[in-house]
Amino acid sequence: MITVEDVADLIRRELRGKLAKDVTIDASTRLDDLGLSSLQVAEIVFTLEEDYGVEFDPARAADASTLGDLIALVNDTATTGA
Amino acid sequence: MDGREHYAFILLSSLLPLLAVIGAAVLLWNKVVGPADVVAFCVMYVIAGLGVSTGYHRLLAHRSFRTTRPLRIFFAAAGAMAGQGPPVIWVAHHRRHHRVADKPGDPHSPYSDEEPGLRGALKGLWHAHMGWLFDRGLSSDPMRYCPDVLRDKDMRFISRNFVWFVLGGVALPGAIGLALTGTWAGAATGALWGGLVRFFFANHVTYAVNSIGHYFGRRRFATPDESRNVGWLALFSFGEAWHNNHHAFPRSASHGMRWYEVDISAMIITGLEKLGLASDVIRIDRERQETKAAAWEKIGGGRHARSTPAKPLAELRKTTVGVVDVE
Repeated sequence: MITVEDVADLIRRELRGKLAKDVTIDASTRLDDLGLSSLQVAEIVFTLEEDYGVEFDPARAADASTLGDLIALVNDTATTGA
Repeated sequence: MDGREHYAFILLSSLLPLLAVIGAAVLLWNKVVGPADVVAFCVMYVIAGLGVSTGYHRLLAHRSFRTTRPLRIFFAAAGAMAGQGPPVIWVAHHRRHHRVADKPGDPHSPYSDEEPGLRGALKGLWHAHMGWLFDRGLSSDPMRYCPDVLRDKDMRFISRNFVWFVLGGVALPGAIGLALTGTWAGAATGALWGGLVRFFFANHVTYAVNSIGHYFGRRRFATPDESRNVGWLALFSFGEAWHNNHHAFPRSASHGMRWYEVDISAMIITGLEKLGLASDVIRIDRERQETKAAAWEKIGGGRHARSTPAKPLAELRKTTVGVVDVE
């Protein structure tokens, strides 16, 4: 199972300290609100794929707008194997 | 890159090469152009041209053939040097262009916001040529259009570091100039000719495929768009200008469909295949061409002809397709 913290770490790495200090990251945080570009979101999505050894349905990955969506995507894919 | 950096890049990349061409013309007038400059220009023109045509376009956007990892990286890196954008963004815009060619949602159609008269026509041509690059609102989500390219770590690396590749495309001809002349002045003029002047000419050829290639030329296939075959542009565009053929059969590795339709990219792909470095090369035989040509002829082509899907993929709320197949 993947946690909010796992994804938050990836996001921080991607934004390289550009993330404002007072921003709280939780499941309802929208990815674009954090200032992530489409390329950075892709980096996170496909790093997750690699780390968890799964292959997402790209259409669902594209529809993921919040952190929670992303986490659900990983966990669903990992459990169903779809 | 955020929106502002992106806009600054577009502005710089359209103005600097133009100024460089003016500077180079002055040098040319004063006859201070050496063979090393010509070599730097030609080598870089071929690298950038093949990068865009064979790499970005046929290998990445249309998956016309498969190749080895080093060659995939080489072609994408060469394409990045051309300076037309990161591979994932280029491919996303291009696949979208094919899905709704010359219809609402096409990123670079000369017929978008069509206005009557000569003024309207010129406005449309300008939009398709370069104007669309300045459209701040335009974005084609790469996750929707090219998850296959995004999934490739190498392509993400090149996309992230795109600007460095563009600068490399100026430094490399500088190094050629330095190596051939042994002088820093030679390095500077090498970078000018092989970097910026090449940037201007190579990219305007690509832009011309988007503008002229949807306006003036012969239509062999009555495709549901305005794509044209532009013979005089074929050689210098490495075959890209057989644009009507390409819209008829987007996945075909060869855009030239007859023996006399010169297509350098297709020759390169065939050459790589013979060397065992390319496989799954997509070819469309004459019979299939004729069948499809006849079918389109019956429906009637052009930009008002019906085509599916009616909406650009980015505007659909839910999509069921993964890798967007453009054929």
